[in-house]
Amino acid sequence: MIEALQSGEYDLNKTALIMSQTGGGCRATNYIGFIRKALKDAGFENIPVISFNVVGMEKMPGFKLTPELLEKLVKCIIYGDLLQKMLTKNRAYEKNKGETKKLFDTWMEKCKKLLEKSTSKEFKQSIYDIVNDFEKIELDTSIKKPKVGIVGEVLIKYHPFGNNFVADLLEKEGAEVILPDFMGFVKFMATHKITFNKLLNTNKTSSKISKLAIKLIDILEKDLKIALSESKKNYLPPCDIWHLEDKVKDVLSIGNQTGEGWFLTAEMIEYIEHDIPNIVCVQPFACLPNHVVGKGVIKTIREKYPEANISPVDYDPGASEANQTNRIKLLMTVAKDNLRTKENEKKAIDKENMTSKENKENTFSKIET
Amino acid sequence: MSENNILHVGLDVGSTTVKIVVMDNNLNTIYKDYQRHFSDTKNTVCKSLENLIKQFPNYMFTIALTGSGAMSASKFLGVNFIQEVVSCKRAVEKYIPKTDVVIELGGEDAKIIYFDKSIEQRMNGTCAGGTGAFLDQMASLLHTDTAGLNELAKNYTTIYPIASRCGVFAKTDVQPLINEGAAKEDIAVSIFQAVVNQTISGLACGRPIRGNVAFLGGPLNYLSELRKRFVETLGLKPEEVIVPEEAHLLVAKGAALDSLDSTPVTAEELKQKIENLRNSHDNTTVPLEPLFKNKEEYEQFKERHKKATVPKKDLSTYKGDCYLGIDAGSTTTKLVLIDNEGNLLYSLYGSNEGNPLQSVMKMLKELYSKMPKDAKLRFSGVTGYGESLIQTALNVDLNEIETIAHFTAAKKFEPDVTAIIDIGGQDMKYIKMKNGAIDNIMLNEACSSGCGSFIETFAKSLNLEISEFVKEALESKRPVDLGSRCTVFMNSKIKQAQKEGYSVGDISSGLSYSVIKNAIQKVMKVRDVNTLGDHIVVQGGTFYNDAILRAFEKIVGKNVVRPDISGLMGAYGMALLAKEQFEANLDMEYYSKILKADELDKLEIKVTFARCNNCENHCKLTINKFSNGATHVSGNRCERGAGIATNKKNLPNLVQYKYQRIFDYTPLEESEAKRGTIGIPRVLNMYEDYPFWFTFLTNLGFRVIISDKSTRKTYEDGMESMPSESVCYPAKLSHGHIENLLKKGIKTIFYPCMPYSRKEYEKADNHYNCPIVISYSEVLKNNVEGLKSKDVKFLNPFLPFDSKNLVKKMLELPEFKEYNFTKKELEIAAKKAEEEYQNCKNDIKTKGTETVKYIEENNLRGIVLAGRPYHIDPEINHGIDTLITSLGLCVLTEDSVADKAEVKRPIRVVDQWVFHARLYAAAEFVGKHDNLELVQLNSFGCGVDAVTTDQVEEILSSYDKMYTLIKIDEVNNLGAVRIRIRSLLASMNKRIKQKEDEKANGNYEINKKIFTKDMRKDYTILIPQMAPIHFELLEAAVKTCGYNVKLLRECTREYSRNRSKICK
Repeated sequence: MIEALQSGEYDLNKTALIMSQTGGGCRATNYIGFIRKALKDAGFENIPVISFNVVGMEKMPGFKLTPELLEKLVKCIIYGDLLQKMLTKNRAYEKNKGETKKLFDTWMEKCKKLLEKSTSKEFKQSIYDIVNDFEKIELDTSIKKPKVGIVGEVLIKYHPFGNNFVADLLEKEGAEVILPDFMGFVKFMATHKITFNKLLNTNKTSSKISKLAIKLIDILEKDLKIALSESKKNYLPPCDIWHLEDKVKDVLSIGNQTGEGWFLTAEMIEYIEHDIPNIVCVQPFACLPNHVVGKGVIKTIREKYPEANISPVDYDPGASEANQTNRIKLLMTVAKDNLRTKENEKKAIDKENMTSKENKENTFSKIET
Repeated sequence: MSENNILHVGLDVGSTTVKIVVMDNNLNTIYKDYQRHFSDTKNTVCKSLENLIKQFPNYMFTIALTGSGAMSASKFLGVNFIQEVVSCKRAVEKYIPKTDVVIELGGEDAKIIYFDKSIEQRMNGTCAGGTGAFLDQMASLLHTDTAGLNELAKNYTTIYPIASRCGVFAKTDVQPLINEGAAKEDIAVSIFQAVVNQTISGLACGRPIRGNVAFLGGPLNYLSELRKRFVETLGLKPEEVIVPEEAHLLVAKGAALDSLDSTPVTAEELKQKIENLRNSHDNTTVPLEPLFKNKEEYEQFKERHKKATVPKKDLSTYKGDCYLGIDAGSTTTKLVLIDNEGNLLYSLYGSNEGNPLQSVMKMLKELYSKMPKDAKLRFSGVTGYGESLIQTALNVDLNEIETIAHFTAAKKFEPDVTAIIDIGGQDMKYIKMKNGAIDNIMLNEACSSGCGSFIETFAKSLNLEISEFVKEALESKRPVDLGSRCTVFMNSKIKQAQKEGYSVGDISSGLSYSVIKNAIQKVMKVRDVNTLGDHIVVQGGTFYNDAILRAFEKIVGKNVVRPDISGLMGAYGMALLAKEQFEANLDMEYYSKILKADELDKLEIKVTFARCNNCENHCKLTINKFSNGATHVSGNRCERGAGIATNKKNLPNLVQYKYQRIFDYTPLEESEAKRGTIGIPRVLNMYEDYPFWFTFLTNLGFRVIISDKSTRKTYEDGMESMPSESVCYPAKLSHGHIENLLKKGIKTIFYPCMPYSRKEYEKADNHYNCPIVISYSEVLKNNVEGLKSKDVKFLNPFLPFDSKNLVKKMLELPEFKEYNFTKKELEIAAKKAEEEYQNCKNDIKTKGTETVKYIEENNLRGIVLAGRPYHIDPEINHGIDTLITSLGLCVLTEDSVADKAEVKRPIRVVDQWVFHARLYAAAEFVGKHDNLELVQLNSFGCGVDAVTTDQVEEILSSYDKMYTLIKIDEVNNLGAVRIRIRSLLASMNKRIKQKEDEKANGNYEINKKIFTKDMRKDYTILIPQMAPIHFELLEAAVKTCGYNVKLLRECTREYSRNRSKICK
């Protein structure tokens, strides 16, 4: 950001910065403080920094979360999650190289327009249109690729620069990459107050508001769920936060909410249950919650789900890239070996079925003659 | 072609050799070859493949390449490249499936692979310690090769300790052994042992190596004695040792196995591929910029450095006062004599031959023999590694820490010095200055890759004088890029460069660049050379070398100052300090008390050895008794050992007080405990909350047992269940504490998750605990095997920390149902617990008040050792508190003063952790007190502390106070800490002297710039990129709501790098 300010592209008297603030007991809440220091050190003290958060920290009169903006943000996330799914799934198997990306770009532009102005009906329709359009992309079903899910710290898992292009690397290594839905994280954040109310007897009203918020999101996501379930391409549906909460309780308490908290563990379980046993867990250096909810639970998850193939990878710009690549390649080797064994088993079973069927048919034909 | 005509080929291109293995269709090895490549991997690979075709002209091949040198070869060949660890896995699964751990040593790499549910590989990065190259170098010292080393080692009797961390250090250890005439057999075996130690401590980093261990790689395959050292050190049973046949080919075999599925190529096709590789160009050897563009530039350079000259005077005709400075370094001794104006009268420089005291005495005698009668020695000072020994033995008037001596000398040449870099033969120091005080100090502790001795060794191997070698370098037009790995590895790169036609000068100048790169990156750990500031002074013997000096200027992009007495700076600074002290004393009758020539002759030294028995460390003490009655003890890690000789009076140490206060409770007898025994681990937030929980549970009728005090052993006992390497040491220790409780036979363990702590400051933003404190017990639950056993109950619910809600929760939670607590008894217990908790806090605060008063009344000084509550654990802080008291300072804790000052809010950071808020308040308090300083402890890997360190520094520096941050982890090394605390002390002294100066006001609040409604109209708001797809949409959405936003798509690596700075 500092770099952008120094570039001379912006009028420094007319520029502000915006940073997201999660508001939890994680240092991510404090990035804004770091940015302020960096600004001061670079001599940009006069640049206002806006905190973007939903818990009402650092109020700034010029920036307000209006209902309109909130609604648009939710739509943003729905579109983003959907397009992301479409892109990764189809790109992995497309017959005509580049077709998916092209369609993706077209829809990206369309979605931007729709965000500007659209009726709820138009919005609804667009969801179905997206899924249907991508349905037309022909996939090569003969390719068998291991599915690899990414979980981890919220900034690192999406940001290609933060994770040294882990998604690209995995795709190159022959994986179908599954990126987590952003909405899941939003829903998880919304459960915070409810949980603390349950566990620690904290404020009741905020608990109620949060419950309402989750309900609203679920309503907005309804069409997304239907559209995806109608597709034949086996997309990962949006998560059911209450189901996940239930599932994760066997591993750790839902009181773990700092950072990605129990949601990170839940995402791993969700992947495994949806037949995505290979998981890369990305962690930036010195991200504390991950020690607990990431690396800390892998042992238990492996015990519960023996097919799980999880690899924690530390990302820190100073860390050796070779080590990261090594880990990912190892994960892929295991993933491919597992897939092959599974395919062979399946083939063996199919073959057995076939032969028994043939035998039957043979017997029949014998009888006939 | 039938399947029988297909062969499977694996090529392992290692750091020194190329190995090829060919298998037939039944996976029998039918051909193998092994060649050294002497850094010419390309042609060696080509040759191997051509031989292959010659052998099997009528076959088809599936090929895979593996190994550290195979990446680019496979690209040009167009065949599969597989990661070494993958090929190793393939081979191990096929040939030695019962392997648990692989130890593989190669020419330039060392690896440990753990075959567990998830395979984990650890390998050496840039350090040569413990590799084949290290062995080669050591063997050459004994004039043999590694095989000879192996033969020698068979007949050993003793193993000597040899530094394993670094080849250069090891050489320093081996050389005296050779000189002293130690048996070659013993030296050989000691070298092997050093490799073993390096592998186990450096690579495994504590993860246990057990089960079936396979030994792979050249050195371990050929050197039976090296293997034996491993087996003995690891305590392996014979059946656990796996030495596969052809261990050095195993990785190549793995590659062959992995190639099975790839498409076969014909011999013809392969020939084409070989051609492609042969014609490829690797651009790895682009020459670096020459040190000097032309003659003029060199002349200017010489002119410029001539200015940094100290004025000299002739001693033989000198009359008047003079001052002596001695620098007793770890390998050399320096002595300087100056006059009233700081003119240099005389100097001596020489190796200390392993005995600093003797060499100082020798030099003193030499000085006395040259000193004219009218030169009067007024004052003397000593600094450096042997300072205290020499001061005691020779009655030197003054001693001072070396950093201060260096700083004093550097200031003479560059008054506004911002950085001092001192590079000697194998020692290096980097002193960072800030506002005229020492801000940070880096020493090379485990790596000497940036030091000068390598250049000398290399010049010698070319039979060149060092001066000639340098001259060639200065004239070189294309310095070869030798990278910045360990200098031990550079030998092979240099050979390659010679083959490619680079001249001696090109190599010599390239080496100069590499030495400096290593110094900056590895020892000084400087990422951005701008942090060195604009006034850099370089010194130390190595900088006499103009090539090195110029390389340094080139790399930092700035001109620097190199004094002409570069190698004598410590002694010169000490002489200046002696002069200063004499002048300050204003005692014109005083003459230096340092021993005179005749006294030197009479001095007798009796050396005895003893073990200190004051604690579990049992340090080995060397006791020097001098005929003048003085005694000097060395070898002790803390002041308790020194106590045998010197008795420091008992200064207040609140770290120790607090430790006692928090944990000194007597549990109920078993007979009194109606609800049985319950265990609490002595970890993390228990260093804060134990008084509460102890009282609470005791009142509920439990016998409360706390785990034993932490030791190194505690850490080791828990090692196996730690899922994360990078978590902080305090968290790692908790595994051992749980094991400790289980070992005591305790069946119920109480360790709740605590999201919130108490809010102590009304204006603080929130009162969270740190994420690790909140829920590390979840990690323990999920990873410590013993806790999963059926008869053990691990109580770790999330609990509120206020009595009312706690009682409510305890009644509700199913975990506690079986105890049938009544509401009443819970309420009473909680009330008592709360009282005790408050009592404890008040006691600490009162003690703080008392101590501050004591310091004032007795004109003492104190250090607030600020950190998190658990930093009072001596295993975590490594006894820094006693180190401070041994230096004559009182020790306070952050919470003993935090109640006595109010932080000026708002501060820059989000102020939502209680422990942090205390730090800020403590800093504020220290800022207002002249007789106090603050040292912050920071556990390595602590992400949230990155928030506090900057803020604490901001507060302190707003009061013109020096900020000292000490990073601590499981490694126990107080050397650098001692230097830093003494530097802090020195800067404190200085400040007190200059007290008349105006006081800094302590202005650190932040004026948050508000984004107003008006701004909304015409301001551009920048959004950092976080998720490419979502934020693309987000930008569009926010725009439609009337904000002029701009997503920073280009925000690239620079951004993440900036962020990483934050994260550290």
